[in-house]
Amino acid sequence: MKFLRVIAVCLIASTLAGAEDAHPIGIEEGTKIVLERGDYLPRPLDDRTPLIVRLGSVEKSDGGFTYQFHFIGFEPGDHRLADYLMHPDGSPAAELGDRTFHVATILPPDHDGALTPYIPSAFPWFGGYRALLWLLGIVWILGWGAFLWFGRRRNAVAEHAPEAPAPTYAERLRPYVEAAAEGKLDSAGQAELERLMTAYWRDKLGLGDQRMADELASLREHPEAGSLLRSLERWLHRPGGASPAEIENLLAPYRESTTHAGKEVMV
Amino acid sequence: MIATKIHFVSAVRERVAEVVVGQDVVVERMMIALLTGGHLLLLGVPGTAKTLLVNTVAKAVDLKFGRVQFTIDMLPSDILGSELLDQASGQFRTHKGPVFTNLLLADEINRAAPKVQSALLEAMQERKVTIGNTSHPLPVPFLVIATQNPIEQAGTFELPEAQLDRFMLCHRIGYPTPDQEETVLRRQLKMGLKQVDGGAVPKSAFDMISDEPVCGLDDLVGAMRTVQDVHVSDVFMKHCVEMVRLTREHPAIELGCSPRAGLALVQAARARAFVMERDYVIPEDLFELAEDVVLHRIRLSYEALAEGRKPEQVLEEMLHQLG
Repeated sequence: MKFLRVIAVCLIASTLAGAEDAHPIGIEEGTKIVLERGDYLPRPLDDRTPLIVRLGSVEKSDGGFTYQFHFIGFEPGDHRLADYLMHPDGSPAAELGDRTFHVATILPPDHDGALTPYIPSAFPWFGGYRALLWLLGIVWILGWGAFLWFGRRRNAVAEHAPEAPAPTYAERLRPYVEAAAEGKLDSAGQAELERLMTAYWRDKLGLGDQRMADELASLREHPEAGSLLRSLERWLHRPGGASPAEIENLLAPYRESTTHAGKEVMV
Repeated sequence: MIATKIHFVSAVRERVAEVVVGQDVVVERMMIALLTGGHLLLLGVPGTAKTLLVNTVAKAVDLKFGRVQFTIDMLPSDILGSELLDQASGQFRTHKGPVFTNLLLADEINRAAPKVQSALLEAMQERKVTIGNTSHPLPVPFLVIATQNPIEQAGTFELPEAQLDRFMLCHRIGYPTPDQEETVLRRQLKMGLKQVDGGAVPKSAFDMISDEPVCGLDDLVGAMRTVQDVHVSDVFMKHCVEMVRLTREHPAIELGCSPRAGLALVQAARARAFVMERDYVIPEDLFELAEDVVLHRIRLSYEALAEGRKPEQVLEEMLHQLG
């Protein structure tokens, strides 16, 4: 509503100014006026002047000299141009006659000068603006509370959830050993079986910090691991390989696994 | 079959042992390179018997041996050869360079300009050299053993990965053990003087190399043929493929191995199995050779280098995943 009032006042002001070539109070305006002489200067003014005139530029034109004036009016009415200009020697520019600046008020003539009172309009939703702000604040605080509560609960669940133990080498070996015993292990599976067997024994003997080639040499010197590795090499790498009976014997210890003290071990 | 051919390896090893103390692994790698026709890059500080070893092996197997000391002012024609105008006949005649040999020792290969390195590496790959408008096949077998000093890098041109890939093996030579070093000193004390034209000079280990070969080209070819018969199981090939795959997928590695690495692993493993008197390869061959086959073919990522990781550590990680 207030916005509409402001627009209306502006429209009225612009209508008045346009109709009578009037300029509104307190707003800087500009105008061009052609005068015969080109040496007019602005007169010095005091702080009670009803009009401030500033000379922007002077250019020579066909009918004389075109003056670009900027001015701000503080009181409505006609202000004579002659009162605000002078000759270079300080004498009044009386020859300018009745040329005037017309400054008009944008308020109606019968206005008493009272300020427009502020009347807040009623907020149409949720019982008013304050109530809405309270509601949004409560929702914001509750949202943070819920976020923290659910976050802590999820962490607590994650902390209490038992971690699935990484499969032991024995567990990883079993499907390959079973497939090998049944003669269903392809070359990729055989390669994985050999890698897991080697890793199993490296783990069992606590190796792991040396060069792989040195670790393999250590394994080969171990009575049990060395025998296994040589058997594996005969089976997987030697031309002709190994007979089913030899493979059965090789894998037998790895097929019989038990659970001991919660951890799967080979016997 | 292996047993009948293995005397070739033991004879060469015995001959090398007469001159060089220790360095058994280097000799083994040289034998692998000889038996597979692969090229070998030796990384080692000066004075670790690189040249002596190559010289001894070349004479032991009765191979034509050439040595080129690479320098910065060298031109490709210094290695490959050139066409010269014979003023007497008015005709161009081909002057073949030192690359026309069976065993070429390219000493300090990283000191030569890249165009010389490229010329040699092209010859290594194609086993032929074009001089003028004519292509000349290189002698068979043709093997390059190049050396690099890993310490001094000023005034050198580092071999790029694509060229390093041409070397089947890149072996890092270490210092001898204290016992071996003591043996070297004792041997030196017993060498005495060499008298030449009335003058004399202390003998060096090079003077101890016998000119009598312990085996000939036929023995080498026979041994090479036997290596080709060494059995490679499907399982071993799966291990090799897995090894190469790991280098390509490891987060610390920017550039993994090329397919050439897998080929080199299998070939080198075959030759090592032969040297170890087996007619089939086993995972031990892969683990022993991985460092020499893989390490010069991978490049660590910037992040891994910034963390202070070394290629050797990353390779060991991968090998531990493999076994």
